[in-house]
Amino acid sequence: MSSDNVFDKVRQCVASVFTLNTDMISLESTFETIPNWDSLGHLRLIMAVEEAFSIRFTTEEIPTLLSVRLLCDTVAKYLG
Amino acid sequence: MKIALLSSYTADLFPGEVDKRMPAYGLTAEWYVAPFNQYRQEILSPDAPSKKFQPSIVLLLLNDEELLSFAPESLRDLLEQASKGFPASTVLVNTCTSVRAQAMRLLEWNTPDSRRIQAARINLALADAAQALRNVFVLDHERVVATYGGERMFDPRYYYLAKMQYSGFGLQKIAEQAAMAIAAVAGVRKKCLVLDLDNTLWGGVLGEEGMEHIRLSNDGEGKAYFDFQQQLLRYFRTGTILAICSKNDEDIALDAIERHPFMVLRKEHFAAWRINWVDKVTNMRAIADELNLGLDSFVYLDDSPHERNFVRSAIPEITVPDLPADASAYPGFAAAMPYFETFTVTAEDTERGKSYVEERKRSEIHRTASSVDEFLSSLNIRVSVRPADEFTYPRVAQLTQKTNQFNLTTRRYTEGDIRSRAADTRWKVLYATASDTIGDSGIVGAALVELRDRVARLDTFLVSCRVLGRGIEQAFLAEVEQAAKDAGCDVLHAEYIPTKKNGMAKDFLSASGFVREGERYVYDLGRQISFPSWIQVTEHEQR
Repeated sequence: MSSDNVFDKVRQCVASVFTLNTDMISLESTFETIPNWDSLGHLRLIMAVEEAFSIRFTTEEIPTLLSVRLLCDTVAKYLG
Repeated sequence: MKIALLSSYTADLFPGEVDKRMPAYGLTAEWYVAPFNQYRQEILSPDAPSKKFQPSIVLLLLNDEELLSFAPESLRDLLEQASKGFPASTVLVNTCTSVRAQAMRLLEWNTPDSRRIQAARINLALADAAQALRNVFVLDHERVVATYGGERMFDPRYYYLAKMQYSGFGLQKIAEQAAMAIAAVAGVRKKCLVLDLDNTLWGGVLGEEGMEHIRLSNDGEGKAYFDFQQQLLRYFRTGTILAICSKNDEDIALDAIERHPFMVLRKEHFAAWRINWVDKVTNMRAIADELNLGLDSFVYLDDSPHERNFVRSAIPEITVPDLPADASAYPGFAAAMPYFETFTVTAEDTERGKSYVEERKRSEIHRTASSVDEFLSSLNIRVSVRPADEFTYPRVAQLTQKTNQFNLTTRRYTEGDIRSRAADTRWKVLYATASDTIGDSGIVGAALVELRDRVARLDTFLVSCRVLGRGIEQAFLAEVEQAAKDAGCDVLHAEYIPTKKNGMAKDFLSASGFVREGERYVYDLGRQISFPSWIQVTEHEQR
């Protein structure tokens, strides 16, 4: 999967979990720029991304994946 | 439905998952989520936020550690306090799942007071408490974990990161169960299960293979059909009406149903059937007409995807689930159907199937009687009207939830609502039972009357449609008028709130001597109250 495709899919997850339009989400979006990306929202997002890519982050990774860029990079590593 | 969520762990994602499943039951949920691990305060404190919220349902979600911290007696005390603290609510509490394995697993069942044995004791204590407390019921999380497996239901990452009890998948599955339970408390329940015959109740095509060769037995492949029928029988015994819609020759099919040694469901279990070569949509409508039930209360099971699609597209209001392709999965599928669930089985539920057979006999008498008067007086109808009590609250609540057609206001009440009104001196909650020479119909009507000074307001008046047209509704209304008069009222106010389904009750008030004043119907209680002459009205229950 190309990095563009990964971004598209992650963006869709972010959009559906936080009910946003996809065009409001960029690689630079983080938990600070997106409303409702709180600790609970983070769990929902992680679950959605794991389901979308059929991957499983480690317990150590989960609390650190606080930006779209980090999410994409980490997903890419698993798909690698 | 107002739901208070009291939890010993992080269950913040839970309401959202339940909400997704409510529309399937035609419900919406409004939540109060208590702060994490505050459930004791919420139960014990009289002015806790959850009490002010006045929930219909209190969901008490406790994780294994919490449940195992109780001695069975103290858990019972807690549930008793919950029952008393939320007297007008239904309290649901989950079982202990005891899924996290401990080292030395062979010792689990072989050491006194091991964790596993404690968990079993806790679950038994829950069951005992629920049976002793009228408004407490158990939600079996252990069953959900057993169905899908601990590996999938739990996710140690979320447990350690966020104290979440279940994985994302697990959360969805317990939310599914909770939605089903909420619907059961709300009384959302299908009424009639319509069944195909060939490759549904038995394997093979009866008309081609003959009764001797269809697959239906207590052994081998045919046992799947036998076991499937056993499950369907459980639905019948708890109040679901069964019917048949099948392309077959009626004589041959009924002969197999009556004589096949391994048929579980016999003629006596079916309230109606259309076994012929007419298309299934026409037949389905005919069954609905005969039983006087709405098609939206029907569930249809058929092995043929073609027939299922045909019925679905022509009658979208019927629920037509996909039967599994392999009959060995039928029994499990039948057991997991979410359409007929309930926490309490009323006496009327267990008798419902029989009462439909009796109804058939009454229509036979009707056909042979020379006049309506002769028919009615030959039935020797007896009606009795009494105030609702602890034994009858469930049935009265159920009637308000299920009666759509002869229902003046269609106000839905839970058992808790009924109980609190019955305890209130400003309300009268009455129910009517009916019986005749053919049989006892049980509780067939309910009325709620609010008394304000000298004015009585008929909040709810409904009669089960299967007994309509014999004067029972007039006799019941007359008794309600009498009760309002006896309570010192001068006038009875009533209303008719039209819905898609209650057209048959539209003219009832005018025909019964009420005078229309704008939106309101008024009955002057100073007038002579008249009872139908052919009905014997008694104050005492007939059963």
